[in-house]
Amino acid sequence: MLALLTDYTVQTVILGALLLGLTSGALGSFAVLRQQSLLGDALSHAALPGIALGFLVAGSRSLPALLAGALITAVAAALTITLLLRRSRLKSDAAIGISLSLYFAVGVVLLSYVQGSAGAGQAGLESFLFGQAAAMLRSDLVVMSVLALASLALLLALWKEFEVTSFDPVFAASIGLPVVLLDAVMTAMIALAVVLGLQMVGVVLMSAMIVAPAVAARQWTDRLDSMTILAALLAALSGVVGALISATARGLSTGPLIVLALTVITLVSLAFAPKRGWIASSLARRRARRNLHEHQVLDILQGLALRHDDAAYLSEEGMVDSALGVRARTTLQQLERQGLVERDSHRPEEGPHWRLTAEGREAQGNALHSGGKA
Amino acid sequence: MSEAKIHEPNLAIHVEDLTVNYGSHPALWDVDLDVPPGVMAAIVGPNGAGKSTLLKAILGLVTPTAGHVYILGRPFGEQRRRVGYVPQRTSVDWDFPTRVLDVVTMGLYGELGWLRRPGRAERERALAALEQVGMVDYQDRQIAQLSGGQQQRTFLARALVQDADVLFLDEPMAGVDATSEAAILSVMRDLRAEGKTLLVVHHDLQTVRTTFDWMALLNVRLIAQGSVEEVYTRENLQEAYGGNVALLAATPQEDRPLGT
Amino acid sequence: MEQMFRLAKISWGSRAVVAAPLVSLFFALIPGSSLAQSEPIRVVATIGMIGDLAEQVAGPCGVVTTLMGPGVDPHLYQATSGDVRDLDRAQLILYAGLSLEGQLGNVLAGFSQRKPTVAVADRAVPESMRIAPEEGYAYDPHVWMDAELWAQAVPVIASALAAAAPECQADIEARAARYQIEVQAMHDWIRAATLTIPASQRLLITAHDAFAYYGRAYGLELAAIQGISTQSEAAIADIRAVAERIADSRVPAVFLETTIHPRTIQAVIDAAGALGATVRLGGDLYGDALGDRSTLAGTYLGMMYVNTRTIVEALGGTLPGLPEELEAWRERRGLLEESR
Repeated sequence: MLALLTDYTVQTVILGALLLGLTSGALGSFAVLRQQSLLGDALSHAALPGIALGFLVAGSRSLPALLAGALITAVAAALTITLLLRRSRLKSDAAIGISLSLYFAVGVVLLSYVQGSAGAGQAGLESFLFGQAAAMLRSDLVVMSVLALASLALLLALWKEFEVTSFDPVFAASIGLPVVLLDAVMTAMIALAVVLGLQMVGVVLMSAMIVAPAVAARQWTDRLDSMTILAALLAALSGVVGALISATARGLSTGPLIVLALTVITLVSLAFAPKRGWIASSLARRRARRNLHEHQVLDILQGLALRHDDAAYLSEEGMVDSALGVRARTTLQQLERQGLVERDSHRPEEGPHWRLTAEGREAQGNALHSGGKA
Repeated sequence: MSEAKIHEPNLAIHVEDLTVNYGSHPALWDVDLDVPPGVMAAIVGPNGAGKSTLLKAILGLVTPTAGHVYILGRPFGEQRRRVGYVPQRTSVDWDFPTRVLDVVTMGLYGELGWLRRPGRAERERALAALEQVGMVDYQDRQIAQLSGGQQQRTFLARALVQDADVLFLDEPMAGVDATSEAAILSVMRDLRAEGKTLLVVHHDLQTVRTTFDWMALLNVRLIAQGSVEEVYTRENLQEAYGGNVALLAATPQEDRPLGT
Repeated sequence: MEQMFRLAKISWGSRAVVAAPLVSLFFALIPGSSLAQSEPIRVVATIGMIGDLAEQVAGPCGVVTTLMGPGVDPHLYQATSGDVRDLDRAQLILYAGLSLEGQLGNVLAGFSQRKPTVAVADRAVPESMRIAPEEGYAYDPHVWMDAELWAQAVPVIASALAAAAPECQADIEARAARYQIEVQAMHDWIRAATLTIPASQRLLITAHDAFAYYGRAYGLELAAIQGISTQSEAAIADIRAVAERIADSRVPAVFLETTIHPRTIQAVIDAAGALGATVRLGGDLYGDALGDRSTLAGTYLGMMYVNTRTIVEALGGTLPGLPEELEAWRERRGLLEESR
């Protein structure tokens, strides 16, 4: 599969996927942290009418016209969302949902109008729904890299302003930053990243490229700069991997494979990341529960011993189960391994009995005065 | 030209006719506030009295329908560098990937201007501010791992790092543990000792007398303002709180001093 | 009504004069009644290749509406509510079948229960003559690409029209016979034309696999980027495979269908270029749809003519003159001042 890297078409697609990944990963980090994950989805769906309009206006299939149209309607959708938020009682999710559906519906209507109108040559606009990555040309790469570098440069230049307006917009306003303007610039940059990716992954899947890399990256780091860089790299990696896999057999679509690769990376991050990962946190929870049970069982045994006024009192396991509320066997075995309790079955027909060992009594003595827990 | 704009230079905060409307009803109406320099001033009033709104309107975060604000004799817009703000804690996403030191450094972003990045000098100032609030040991801690009081102290450090002369704090000690409360109060007293002015929206009427030296009673309109002895009277409280004054015994022994 | 006449004190004779046209109008509005015989029947065709045939054969006996215009991809086309209205008002529905109109299956099945609906390609081409592709479709539906095969669609359409408009039967059959001769003549001409292509360049490379019947009928090898349907996007491997084929064969030109986005073919040309083979775009081909009505390729015969001209000239052959059976067609279409 690596031999494919020398192929002209594969190289073109991989370079495009790299550029897409870097911009969508970096800008997506901010979208997600600002709790605007859905915004990427709205912007990409809103690009559809712009593509149809770009075709109707320019009358040809020139890519710059289509992408310009897409950018215009995407930005219009963002403005619509802002307007809905300001002028009505709608919350952010409802405003985004309305804008998304509205623009996408207009887009589908326009597409079917274009489809039905006279004039051969309007074909191929549907390819923007799921992307047509394989048809990427070197000339497209030039446009993409200029736009990608420009947005990344702008992100770097305004880094601290974006950081503080995303974290605490109220405070940012108080130190004199033009928060509304910065928000608008950030939204426009996200729209640009979305439009750049439309050719590769299409309208429907583009939101994944905005949201998933940030979610995955957040799992591995607690710093904003590392998170943004990692998100960009993970998205770029999925782009390369998806493109390579799709190049191995005829009829494999590139866009969806990129998103699948990204999904795998995200799921792995959600499961396996240290500290925040699902596995790490369930292990931590289990450890905590185990410790709690161990303390509780030691207290129960001690309490029973006190009640019966016998330090070496043998408690029947059933009584411990009842006091603990769950089966105590595993906890008792763990404590036994630590040498804090010992089992006695001199009367085997009555089931296992347990008592504190000398170490166990000492450990309890040093710990809380729980006394009379029974 | 700048001389012509100087107005009430002897007052730290001078507010005239401040009015803010939310929809059709006023949240603040005809508020005239004169805070002398070097005091620790409290704004108190019942819920919905417009206390936070007053702060936000002074700081330009909310557009007033009417009114002017002067800080140390000059219009507010020119004095941003001399003003610090500690907002309420709840306004922020605490899972944001940032450390205590980063948050405090953000206080300097306004000063740095466009394109400059925070460097060693800024880091030193941030550490000094953390020192002041007793949070230096937590500088690398993720903000999600902080307790409420520690978060509040971080926000205070963020305002301190700006070296402002006039500080605005919105309920800095609400819902905060005893250690943090003591630390915050101690910092506030130090600031006053340095000659800075503090205007604090305070949540707890019971502790005003033992903590602050200047107060304003607010309930959409300004009821009274001045030194705490002058203003903290039964009549004023009655007017501001509208009748629940039985709960507010105005005798010193029943007030719990803050920080103990 | 009696009341009205009584009040007006109008005589019985005048009443008849008033009533007769009203009654005729009333009957004329009832579909299928004998008084409506002079009205041309309404025929709806899905693709232009069928629609054009229906127009040629029906003549003044029928009004043909074609749902999919020039440049419309029939594999992806979805019916609009206007289309459903047209279908509802039609007296005869003609479509290709063999799963060409992929998205119209349910709609057509619904209408087939209520009115005469004919799957022309399915009916006209017996299984033994169909091409079965390696994967996906059961049969390749692009049968019109073989003119001799498509000529068999003419009697199918003629008998469907005659069944719907029996009083026109004689006219329909006469026109069908004449038209079938023209189609057969076109087939012979295309054979002669394609024979002039040099042996080493008899490779037809297109964006999607619509020309299998053309290749089989006229002796050309084929390669396409996408398969029979355009529903899936072109994959990287598809582009590479075709680019390699071009580099191996050194064919001078590749072709683009009017229903396909030109970037896919451009990507192939660039990729072939990277492999050292210069190939140019030989021109647009009409694969799944006719051209604009006002152009030469706006009819079936015109479409086959223009396709052949584009292919033959780009691959290094020479066009022979048209046979006399097509003289009438040539004059009809004003071939001397043709527009591409």
